[in-house]
Amino acid sequence: MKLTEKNTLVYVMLAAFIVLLILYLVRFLFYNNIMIGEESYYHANIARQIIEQKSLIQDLNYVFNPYHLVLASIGYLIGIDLASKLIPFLFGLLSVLVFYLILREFKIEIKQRFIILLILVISPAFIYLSAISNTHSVPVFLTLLGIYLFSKKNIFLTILSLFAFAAAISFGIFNALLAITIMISYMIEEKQKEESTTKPKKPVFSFQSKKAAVFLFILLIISVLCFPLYFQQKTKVLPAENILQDFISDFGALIGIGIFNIILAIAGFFLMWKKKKEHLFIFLLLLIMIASSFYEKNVIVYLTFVFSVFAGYAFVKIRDMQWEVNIIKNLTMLLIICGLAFSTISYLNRVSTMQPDNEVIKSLDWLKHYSEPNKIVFSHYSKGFWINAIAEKPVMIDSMFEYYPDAKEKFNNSEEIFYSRNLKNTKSLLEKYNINYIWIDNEMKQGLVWEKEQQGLLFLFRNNETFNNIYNNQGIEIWEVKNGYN
Amino acid sequence: MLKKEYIWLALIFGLVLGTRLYFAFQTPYFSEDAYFNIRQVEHIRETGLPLFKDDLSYSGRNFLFQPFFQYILAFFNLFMPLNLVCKLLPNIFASCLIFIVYLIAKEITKSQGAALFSSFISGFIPIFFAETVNSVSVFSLVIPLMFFLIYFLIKINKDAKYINHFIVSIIIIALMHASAFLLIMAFLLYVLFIKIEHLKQSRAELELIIFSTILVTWLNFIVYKNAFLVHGQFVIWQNIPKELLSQSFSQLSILNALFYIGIIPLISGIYLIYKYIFKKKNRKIYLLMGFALSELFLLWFKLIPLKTGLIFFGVIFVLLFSKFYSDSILFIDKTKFSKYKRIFIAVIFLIFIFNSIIPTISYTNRVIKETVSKNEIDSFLWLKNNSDEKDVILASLDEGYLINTIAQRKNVIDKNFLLIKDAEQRLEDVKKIYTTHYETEAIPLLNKYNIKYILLSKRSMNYYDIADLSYSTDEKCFELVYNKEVKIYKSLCRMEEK
Repeated sequence: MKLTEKNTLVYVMLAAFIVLLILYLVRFLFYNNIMIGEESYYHANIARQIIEQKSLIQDLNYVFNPYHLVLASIGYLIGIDLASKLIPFLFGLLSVLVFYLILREFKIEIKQRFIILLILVISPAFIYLSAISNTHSVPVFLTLLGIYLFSKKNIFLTILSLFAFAAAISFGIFNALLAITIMISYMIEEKQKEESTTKPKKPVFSFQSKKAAVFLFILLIISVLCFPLYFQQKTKVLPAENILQDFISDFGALIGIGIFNIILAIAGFFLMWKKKKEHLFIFLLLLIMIASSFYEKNVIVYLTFVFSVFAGYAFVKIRDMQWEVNIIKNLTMLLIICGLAFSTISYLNRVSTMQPDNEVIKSLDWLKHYSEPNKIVFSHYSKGFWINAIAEKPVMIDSMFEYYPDAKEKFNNSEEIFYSRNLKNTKSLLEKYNINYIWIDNEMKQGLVWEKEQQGLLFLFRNNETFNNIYNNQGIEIWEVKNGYN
Repeated sequence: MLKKEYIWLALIFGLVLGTRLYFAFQTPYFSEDAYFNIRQVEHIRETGLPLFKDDLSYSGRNFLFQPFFQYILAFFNLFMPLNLVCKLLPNIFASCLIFIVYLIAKEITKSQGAALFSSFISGFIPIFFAETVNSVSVFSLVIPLMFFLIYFLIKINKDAKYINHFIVSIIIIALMHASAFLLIMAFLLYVLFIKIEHLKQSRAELELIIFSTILVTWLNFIVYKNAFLVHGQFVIWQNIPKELLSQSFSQLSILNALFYIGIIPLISGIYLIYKYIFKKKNRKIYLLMGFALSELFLLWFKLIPLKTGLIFFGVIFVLLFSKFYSDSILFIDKTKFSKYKRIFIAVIFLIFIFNSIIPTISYTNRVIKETVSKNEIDSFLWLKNNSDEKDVILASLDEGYLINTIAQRKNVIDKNFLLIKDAEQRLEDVKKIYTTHYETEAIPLLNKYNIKYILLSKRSMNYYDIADLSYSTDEKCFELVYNKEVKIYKSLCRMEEK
């Protein structure tokens, strides 16, 4: 296969398209095209409310994100459901395109560019970014666009670059930090170039250096202006997860990097370290991203682009190495490819079969149609967005509860309802939150909430003076709380 | 000359295998842990596939393991009785270690005497001998193969054919047991030593190490992917409950090492490591040191079970001893004491007999005594013939595999905890059922796991330090259906919660 400027991009885009298509096809064929995960339902619900109210959400508990405006705007034209699928898909492909252009701009040779992009498009974090409605697909694209346009000398493109960075900054503090780091990296790199080429008596700054300095100043101001958007009151209630399970997709992370991608990236890191001055830009980005990922695990979607560069570099180096034994070379390359593909396949398998499935949708649709409107539903917090979006019912607790003022109390009370066998106690808590319905699924009964049969609330359900089973299908149960609270 | 060497090796092999078989055939049965592999072999022979989804263990669970060893046994089971296969083959595999130790030692020392002496010692490493004699242990094959791999790595610079041998061996080991990771750690440490000491790294060697690292990592991720998803990095500790973890992954102590490895290999090994870190350079010794130090690191941080670590340690230290021995002989030859060389060898041999062979025999005797007795087997057979196929049997942790394999019934707990979410709870519940004084406490737990029969053997009585079930006097709820050396109670009552 002879790689040219034209066909490389086509091949990579085709690969990205095929990987994402597999996911969409599985959902389409076996899951009635139901959206994946919980996060997508949250965004869809907010966007729907924005369209209905024709204004921003006024709720004090609402955590603003510009993505909701993007989703609402496009959703207004083509429908929220389609927009939730189309936006990440399009922005994912556009990100690949811009990333390709950036690599070309950085004069990465075509073979290496191809491998880097291929590793990127099969990485679990990229699949997440491009297949599930999330708040990162737009800022990732904007940041990449900003980097690409910034490297151009055209003044119009420079202004566009500023807009791209400014827009990305509004998405979160990490985007601000990233934009600022990019500018600082540019300045340092330019400075090094200047020092290595000339030895002037007084310092001379190139156009790119000056541009970066101006950008840095403007972006800092924009970041300061965006500060109120960044800092939402959040009470840390849920226990910290295992760092490996947070970071590595093969260990169960939804937004994670494949283990072989990491191994290759580490190899690439050491190989590139020899020329660290040449690759200062990427090393600084890596540093800031790894540091940030400890505070915000979603940074992994950005990190996957950097990791792809390191992994791609290592892959090409290993392949081009002077191997003494050809059979070992072939077997090693085969294993690396299998290892990378293994993470992708297992991630695709996991994500494509993720909840909600048809049964969950059916039960929530039933709840929507056969229950009284505006009555509060109780379930595990991870099910809250589905109940909100599909059953169109308010919930006692959802995955954003840590942003609510009474987060700890709500969480503790929900735990008490789940695990207490004291009917009086449970009744008083149900009354406290005006709960009328309880929705439970198999996942909750198989370890998410309860480990054993007849544990806590499952035991109390036997009291038919308080609870009435109104739905029971395929392990999903809906219980009505008698003498419901209005 | 060559023939004499072979004769000596054949004699050592005969002696080691003979001693092993003598112990192995002291009893027609096996150690409890062996019954997991026996069941897998039976299943492979019957269906062609290993038993990954099992309805009996934990009353239904999935197994994760590499089945290559079981396939080998199943293959031999096609034309040999299973009992003979399980007694004979693991002991033949384990005895083959003497040839490998001989080959490596000869490469390291260039001395036939040192190589033969080391090969003899390797046949009687207490922990390796005792732990593989009657347990159908995968280590009986993994250990010789791993050291074969080291031999191939030493030889690849001399002959390219060893590259192919290495590739085949590493694939087999990776398909056999997760301990292949130890080998990878050892190789990486070896590369580090070579770098630190500014020795020239052979290209082919480095390529093989890269290949092995990727292969072993990938294969293990494929096999244990689900375990990683469920347990995260705690897979390393095999999801063993905390209470048992301190027993399996206990701290390495000098006394343990002295007993399980032997005093001569241990002291000479430590001295040699010191010598080659600070005074001399030798790439072959660095390869062994890489192995020893990676084991030490893993044992120190309790990342591998103590027994597994000590088995590897034992063989490495024997190999290091060979170098120590040849160096000592060379040194003595240069001194006025050269005429007493034979006395020196005799003294070492005597110390070896006292410190390796005697512990080997006493340790193996203990292991054989702890093997399942006829009475216990009879009780399991009674359960097989008198209980319903769906009945759940409660037995102690050690007897879990026996319930599945001999009685062919469901158990509540056994020693394979991987993928078991409530392992900790089960262990606690089983202990409570055996030790509680109150039937109001026992019956709900018996109901919880649908337990129909409770097996009370000497083993479980010792384990839980009880003489009988305290609540068994209630004949309405607990019928004594089997009363010999082992007692079996039938649980008859259900307790409804209100």
